[in-house]
Amino acid sequence: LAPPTNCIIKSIFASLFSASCSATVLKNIAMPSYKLVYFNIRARGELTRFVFAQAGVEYEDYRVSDWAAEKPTAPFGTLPYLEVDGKRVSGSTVAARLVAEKHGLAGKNDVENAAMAGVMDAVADYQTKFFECLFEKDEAKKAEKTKDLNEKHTPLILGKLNDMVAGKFLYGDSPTWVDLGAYLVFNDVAKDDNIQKTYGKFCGVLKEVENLPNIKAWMEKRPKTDMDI
Amino acid sequence: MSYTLYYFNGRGSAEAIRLIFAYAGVEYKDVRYEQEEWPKQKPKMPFGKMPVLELADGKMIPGSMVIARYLGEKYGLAGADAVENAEICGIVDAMVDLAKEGGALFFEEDKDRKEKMLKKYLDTTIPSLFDKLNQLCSKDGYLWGSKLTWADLAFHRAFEYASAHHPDKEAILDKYPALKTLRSLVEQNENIAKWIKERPKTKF
Repeated sequence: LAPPTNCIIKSIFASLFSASCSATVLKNIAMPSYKLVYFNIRARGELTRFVFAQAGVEYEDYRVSDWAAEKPTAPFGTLPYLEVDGKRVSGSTVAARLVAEKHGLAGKNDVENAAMAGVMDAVADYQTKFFECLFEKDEAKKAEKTKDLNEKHTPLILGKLNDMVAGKFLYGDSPTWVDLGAYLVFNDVAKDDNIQKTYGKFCGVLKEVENLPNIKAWMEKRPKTDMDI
Repeated sequence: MSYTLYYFNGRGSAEAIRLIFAYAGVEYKDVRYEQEEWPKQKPKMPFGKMPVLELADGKMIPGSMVIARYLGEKYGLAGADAVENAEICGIVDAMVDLAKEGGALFFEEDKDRKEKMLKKYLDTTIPSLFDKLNQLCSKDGYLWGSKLTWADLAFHRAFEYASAHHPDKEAILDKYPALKTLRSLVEQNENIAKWIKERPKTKF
């Protein structure tokens, strides 16, 4: 090729190459690198995994096999923690909230975000009571806790959540991390006929969560674990 | 007044919030319900629990750590972006178990259970948390970064939870020199010192 044409072709290639380079660099700057560290179970890791799935954000879903070896390196000797560009965020709700707020699954401002986190706090509280009841070994205490759960805690929170429903989901027609969290905590409880009848709107939200394409896809492809929690 | 804080008449899980208000010099209505009033007030709370923070527009935010975080971030006691704020929150999250166990200990009536719980609290819960916190604090004197954040105020509360059940309050932090210094630093702040001196003296 004659030198001028060669130069033109070279410069076109050069500008395309640098344009794609910039785009890649920009993409890498924009999208943090995430690594979720947890055991190979659902439990406290699953909410953050659900948030990543629904948001369509890539992350490394690291599942610890040798806990004794890894424990000293966990920020507080506990899991889950989320590594974000080398920084480490400890705690399941803290991690889920960070990803949700960064990737469109939360509110529009700090007040809305705090209000949502407050609801999740109540949901997490309920889950703790649920597990305390489930794992209580003393028969008398267990009976007492079960009674409290069935007569007080479950109706209270389901009533509040049911009243909150503002569309297909809790806050309108788009899902937030609170819907995902509520699904994980209440999905089994909600299968009860009585619950379906009494808290129909909330149970409807859970069905909508289940039908979200990204959530469906995640639930189909996620690792099958030994424990059903 | 823009803010109203609702809680029982005690420190409990509201005190970290009150420390943040005090440190930041922000006024608020400090509503305290006695046990007898609680059944009447319970339905007014978003999820039947306290603490709750009511904002100027009437919005009610539940969850002690959620409220503390909201105020901490609003009043300059946090990081520069979402990830830093999450790091700070993760540190406070690690203190929650100690607070929960401390609370459970306070209310446990069965002597045998209480004894077992106390042993775990003193031998395992407190040391493993304070060990990690001390490591964090040893670098720059604060739990996160090189400035005071709401995590440091939350730590002061965690220290109070630990000392409530410890046979020798003043000695708890002997093994954790950086935390000992941090505790003094917080208490010597003019606003905090004033609050600690003037706050209602309560059982919990």
